[in-house]
Amino acid sequence: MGMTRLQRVQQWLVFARQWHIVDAQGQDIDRLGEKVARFLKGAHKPIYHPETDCGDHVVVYNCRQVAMKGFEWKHREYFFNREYPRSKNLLSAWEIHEFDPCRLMFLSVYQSLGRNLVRRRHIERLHLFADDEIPPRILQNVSNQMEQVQSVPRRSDQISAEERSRFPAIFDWKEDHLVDWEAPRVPPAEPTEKKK
Amino acid sequence: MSLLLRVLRVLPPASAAQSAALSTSTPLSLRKIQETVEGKTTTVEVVDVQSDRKQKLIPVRDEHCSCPLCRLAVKVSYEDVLILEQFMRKDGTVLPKQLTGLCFGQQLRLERCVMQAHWCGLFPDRTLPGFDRTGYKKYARYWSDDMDMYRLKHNVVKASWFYVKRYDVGKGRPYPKIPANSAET
Ligand SMILES: [Zn+2]
Repeated sequence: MGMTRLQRVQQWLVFARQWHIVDAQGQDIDRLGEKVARFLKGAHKPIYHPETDCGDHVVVYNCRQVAMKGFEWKHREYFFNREYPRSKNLLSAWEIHEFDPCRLMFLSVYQSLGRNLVRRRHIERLHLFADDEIPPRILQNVSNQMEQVQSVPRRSDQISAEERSRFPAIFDWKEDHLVDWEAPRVPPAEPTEKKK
Repeated sequence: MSLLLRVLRVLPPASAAQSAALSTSTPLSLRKIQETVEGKTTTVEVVDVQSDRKQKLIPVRDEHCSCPLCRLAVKVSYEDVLILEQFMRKDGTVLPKQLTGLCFGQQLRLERCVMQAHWCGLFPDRTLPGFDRTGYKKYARYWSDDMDMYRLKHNVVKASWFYVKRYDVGKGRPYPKIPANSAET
């Protein structure tokens, strides 16, 4: 049984240093971090061993639009401590994200790589971009687009009128329905102070 | 005062009562307030209009609850923008259940889903003008359930100072920016 052409290319790719790219828009930061860490370690390859240097490069763009569940941006806090005087810091997630949109993605990947000595070598192959502007010298290496970890819901202005007209109606109005009842309600005016 | 108001009483269509007895679907006679100006006379009358939902309405099945969302075979979530917007006004608020015919539980569920969709920014054209999007609210979020907003948890993550900063992230950040190099490529 010889190798087919496809299998031969796959064999080359396993031993080569591949470059993957993934769009972080609307993706959960923890689950995306775990997936990226898996590719950085090379754990997706059949030849993986913790001491084998078979990790790939991963380019993550749109890090600014990365998502958290619910109110996690406010309720998750990161505690930094170098165990030096005045080096402790407790910052909420959105404050870090506001200062540096790539920092939390880095933290998530770094923690998913596990506590070991080689993770600092692995994380050097991570390329984070806040927006979708990627330098061409990075982009020319990319050979694979990774699948996202979750689907991104579409906004109502992204749906075309043609698709909207094809969508079935869930209910119909009751008998003697007045169309004007659907109009936006005017909120009651603010109480004004009486002039003396 | 030259303005003369005359309200005409509109008789219900003759076939409405008949078809209500015969068919299972709702007979429709939607009405609309219409103002017409003829010279100095303004006529305000209630006219019949045709519902635009009549042609594509999902047929009713006999279930224990026949409200529009219970008879639907899907569990509505915040991502179903096309379903949610049928229950909403133009300004993004939810219609009352007296108009939509939902049962109590489904109405609450729908309101939670609409609120989640607003928080995710899925209705940019139907949001109230004063909707707060400052601070942590400007970043993307998702929900896995319609009760997620009540499951609040404050968690502290132990983080590391170690950071590899390779590329510039924006204005005013003290990191070197990669030159746009076409020569290297
Ligand atoms: Zn119901």
